[in-house]
Amino acid sequence: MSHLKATFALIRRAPGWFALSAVLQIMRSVFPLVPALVVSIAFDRLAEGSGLNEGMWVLFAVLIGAVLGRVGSLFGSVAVDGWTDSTTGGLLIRNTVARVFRRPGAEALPHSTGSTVNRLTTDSQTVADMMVSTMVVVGSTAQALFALGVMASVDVVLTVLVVVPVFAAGLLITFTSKQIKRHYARSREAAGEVSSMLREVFRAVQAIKLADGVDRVTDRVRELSETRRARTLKSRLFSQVMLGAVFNSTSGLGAGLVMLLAVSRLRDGTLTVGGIVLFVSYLVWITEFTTLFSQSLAEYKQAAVSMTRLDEVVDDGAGLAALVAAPTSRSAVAAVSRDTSPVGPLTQLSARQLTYRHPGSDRGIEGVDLDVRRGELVVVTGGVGAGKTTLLRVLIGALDRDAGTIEWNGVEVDRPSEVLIPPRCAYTPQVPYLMTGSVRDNITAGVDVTEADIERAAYLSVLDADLATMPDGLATRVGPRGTTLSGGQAQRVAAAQMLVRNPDLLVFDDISSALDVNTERELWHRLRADGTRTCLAVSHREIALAQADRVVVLRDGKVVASGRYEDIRDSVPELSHADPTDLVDNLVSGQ
Amino acid sequence: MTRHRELFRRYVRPQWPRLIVLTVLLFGNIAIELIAPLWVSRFIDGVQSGATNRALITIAILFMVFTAARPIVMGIAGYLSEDVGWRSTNRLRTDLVRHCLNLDLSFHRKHTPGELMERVDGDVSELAEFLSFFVFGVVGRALLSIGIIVMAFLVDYRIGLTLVVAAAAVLIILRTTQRLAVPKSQALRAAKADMSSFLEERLGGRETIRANGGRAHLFEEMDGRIGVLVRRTRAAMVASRYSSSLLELMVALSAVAVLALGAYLLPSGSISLGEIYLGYYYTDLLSFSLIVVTMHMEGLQRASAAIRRIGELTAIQPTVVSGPGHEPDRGSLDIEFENVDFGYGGTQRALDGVSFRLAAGQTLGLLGRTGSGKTTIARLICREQDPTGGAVRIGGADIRDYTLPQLRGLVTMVTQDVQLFHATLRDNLTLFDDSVPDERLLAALDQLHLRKWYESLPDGLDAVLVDGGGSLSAGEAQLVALTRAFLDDPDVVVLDEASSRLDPATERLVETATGRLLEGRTGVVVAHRLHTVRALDHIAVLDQGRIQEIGEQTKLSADPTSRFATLLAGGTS
Repeated sequence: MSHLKATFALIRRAPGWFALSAVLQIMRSVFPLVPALVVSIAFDRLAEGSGLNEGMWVLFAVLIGAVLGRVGSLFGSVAVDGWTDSTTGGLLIRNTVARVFRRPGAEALPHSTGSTVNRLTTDSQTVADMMVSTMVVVGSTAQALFALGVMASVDVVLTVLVVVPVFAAGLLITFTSKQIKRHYARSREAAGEVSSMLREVFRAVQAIKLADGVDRVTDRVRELSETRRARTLKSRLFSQVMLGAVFNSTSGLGAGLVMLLAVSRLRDGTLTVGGIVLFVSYLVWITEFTTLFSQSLAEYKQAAVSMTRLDEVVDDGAGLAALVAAPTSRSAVAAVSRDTSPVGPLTQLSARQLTYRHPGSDRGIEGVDLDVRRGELVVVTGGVGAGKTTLLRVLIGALDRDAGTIEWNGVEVDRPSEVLIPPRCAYTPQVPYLMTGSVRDNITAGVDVTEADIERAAYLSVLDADLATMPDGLATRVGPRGTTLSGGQAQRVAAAQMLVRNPDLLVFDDISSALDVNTERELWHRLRADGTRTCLAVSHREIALAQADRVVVLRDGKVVASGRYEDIRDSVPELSHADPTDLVDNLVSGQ
Repeated sequence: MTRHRELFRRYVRPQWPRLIVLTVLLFGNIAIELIAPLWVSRFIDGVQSGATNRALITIAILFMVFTAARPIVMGIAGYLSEDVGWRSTNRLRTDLVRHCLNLDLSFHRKHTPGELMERVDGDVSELAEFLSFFVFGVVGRALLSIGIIVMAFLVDYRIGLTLVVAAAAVLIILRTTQRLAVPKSQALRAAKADMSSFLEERLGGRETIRANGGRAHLFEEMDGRIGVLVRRTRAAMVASRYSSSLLELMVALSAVAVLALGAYLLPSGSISLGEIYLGYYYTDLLSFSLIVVTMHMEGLQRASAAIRRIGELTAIQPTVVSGPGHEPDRGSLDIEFENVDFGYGGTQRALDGVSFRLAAGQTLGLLGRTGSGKTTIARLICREQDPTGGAVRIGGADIRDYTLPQLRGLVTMVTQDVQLFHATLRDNLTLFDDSVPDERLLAALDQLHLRKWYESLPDGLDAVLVDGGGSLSAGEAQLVALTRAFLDDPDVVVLDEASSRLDPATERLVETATGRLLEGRTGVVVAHRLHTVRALDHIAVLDQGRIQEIGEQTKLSADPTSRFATLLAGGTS
């Protein structure tokens, strides 16, 4: 889809509003031409020697009336434009976020989060602003046509001379458009780099301070800021300074030319003083129109860059059509998640020959088979980079598998990311990611649950004792990204989020990593107490391994052993711990 | 106001050569704007009085030159203004980043990166924008307005008086209506900032949101925010037009006044048609200039608010500050806690009278439940925070006596939460220190047995790591953090849950490397698992901010009544 088509598609999202906007823009642009016309008539009367008579007062009344009309239409127009501007921006953000959330959840986005947020906010604004300024151009064109009409009725030849700079400018813009686009893209890119660097710096404050890296990081920020300055100025030099200067000078020359040619016309009476006043005033409007037109062309080109930048937030190949698509209703989004038709309650989840390669590396998983039956605990273990997390992610659809099949109760699941979600399945990642808000917000995360449900989830995730010590209990704020909680607390809040959804299958990616032995033992004890929960977990702790119905050992992305812990522990190096103090874990789990 | 002056002195004044050129252009532009309409006025009078064609043509050409020159002057000036704006605010931004980084970590735990971005980038850009237009928008237009009134008085005192009245009315209107618009635009800004942090968090958490079926909720929250944006944009845009609309009405009234005055005076011959035109033209120009001034006055208000917020930020001083300096006796530094208290205010203290001494070259493992105070001890050793009571000493000196760079040179901490940059592996290892040779990095990677892993990366040291996971597993990120610590070559090492999240194979890898790192160094290890502390010399068991038990590992494990032995036996302590 071309950028122009995309722009029209955006107009089609709300044709009524854009039409109303155009009408109001025309009104607000044409009304201001009336006073100059009135004043020119007044000057002609004055030149003829008439004083402050009744006719003059009528002209003055018309002038004031025109201004009132202008102000009225201006307010209407601005209110409508405020609506179209923000609604268009909102649509672009919404569509892009929807695309991001259609991609597998663990697949890296092509750009850093900082840069992505920058694109979502700034570039969507640029496109929305362009839509409004296009409407402004519509009004301004009507204004120019009206002015040209009035001028032509006074003197056709002089009028033609006024039109010339407009054409010249149009040519100039077309000629330099590529440069404008390129310079703008480069300046936006530099701005994105500054934002993402700053975001990362403020996230990594601790690391920077402890490594005494404040000066070096600050230097990097300065370098990036300087690049942004240089590129922004270069872009400005092209789009505004050079074009603007050339433009306005051209129309200034045109105005002088009008006066030169008026000399002989004034002599033979084909032009009056009022006519000159009219021409000089209208020339200002024509100049404004040409400037506006050139700016809006430049803006359109910048908006085209911004559309592409928004499109590139996700590399799903959907293109601009997806960017400007009509918004999916919220109920449609919800319907997808509630669609339980393909499968019933879990009896068995089976994966065969699952294969995934991380792009640009030779790592991943290859030909992995996995079965989880109702009520079982299956533990996946293995060395670093063995593919444990990758396996879980591929299974629940957080990464798109390259090959293999997944079956839920024997029914093939083509898109696990749409099916292996609550109420069937829920997930706690290795590194919990909490949102600003209260503990309660983070546990419910939008689902409608009772207080008893929350308490049950908090109990199961061994969060109850912590909640009792927190100043506001469930209402305690977790701080940005959950930083006011300890690592273990954050992880258990994430687990509670999973548990409150009461899914058929619980998937843990190394829940134990931030927990001490006693807390973890309590967690497994509570989860396994009634024997009804089905769990798939990554762990390398004996406490989990020994309870598992099946242990699956991965090495270099392949299953090297599978079975009960006591049966395979002696034959698999991953399970025979070198450090004798791991006896501790044995003792704990053996109780 | 002193804040404004201070900012100007530090950041704008160094740009003085550009400012001088700008001033010259500024006065040139004012002259052109004032003189150009004079030629039209003379032209009209020339026509009325029957001047020669030659005289009229000369006037027309002069007018042409003036009108053509103005955009060029404006173009150059606009470019220069923007350059000054960016240059000065870039320096300000860099200084603010440095300032923020020097603030206490407790400050950063309370403020989101998004919030600081809003100060350091949002507010500073607001200033940049304002500075870019300040010279021409405010100073230039204000001077021009005065020039117009002077010129009007030169034409006719009655026209001059009319303009003074008009200008006064315009200023009153602007001052009153601006107050109505500012809160609306502030509300809009707040909504945009909120949207930005919302998006950042949701993008960061998208794996969990998708896997736990949170998409519908996400859209619900997003639609709510878009709704707020729509309402506030409309309100802000309408409010922004209050003043300009009243002004247009005012301009029409003044034009009527000038024309009526002209029509009244013209028959008596005390004013010419050209002069009426000039009066009419100046009325227009004056209103336009005042609009521009007020428009930027709004910018000035926003910039003032930005300066105030920046001022508030710079006023926050770190409580952890460099000491007078103390030359440590490197290579044999002990750690001593003397009756150390630490409390977050109000409730239970995180540390309560903790005392211990760890001899140089010895290692200590800290055990205890979540919240028992292990992490606080680690943070105090690194001076992330200062104790609220008692003293922490390293090498016999209170750590508050060292300068911060001295202390950072002595102590290195490996944190659990590894923070990676969207940058090359080299930059992530050295934190942008270009002076570290690649050989040193490779040697460190060798020591950690990471050479094989390193060689699997497609671009080696130039491999660009992606934030938010993706290219590195959590375990690998930990390895990067460990290599960072290796490169620092510290005397004291603090490992905060450093071996968590690692599988046994990596843990062995890290243990070997940690062992090497701890060799000949004083080390404190915060651990959640018992086997990570078995290689350490001493053990401390903490509970509720107090040391329950401390001693040599061998003795503690041999004593069946010790808490450590109970822990080893798998009981709850």
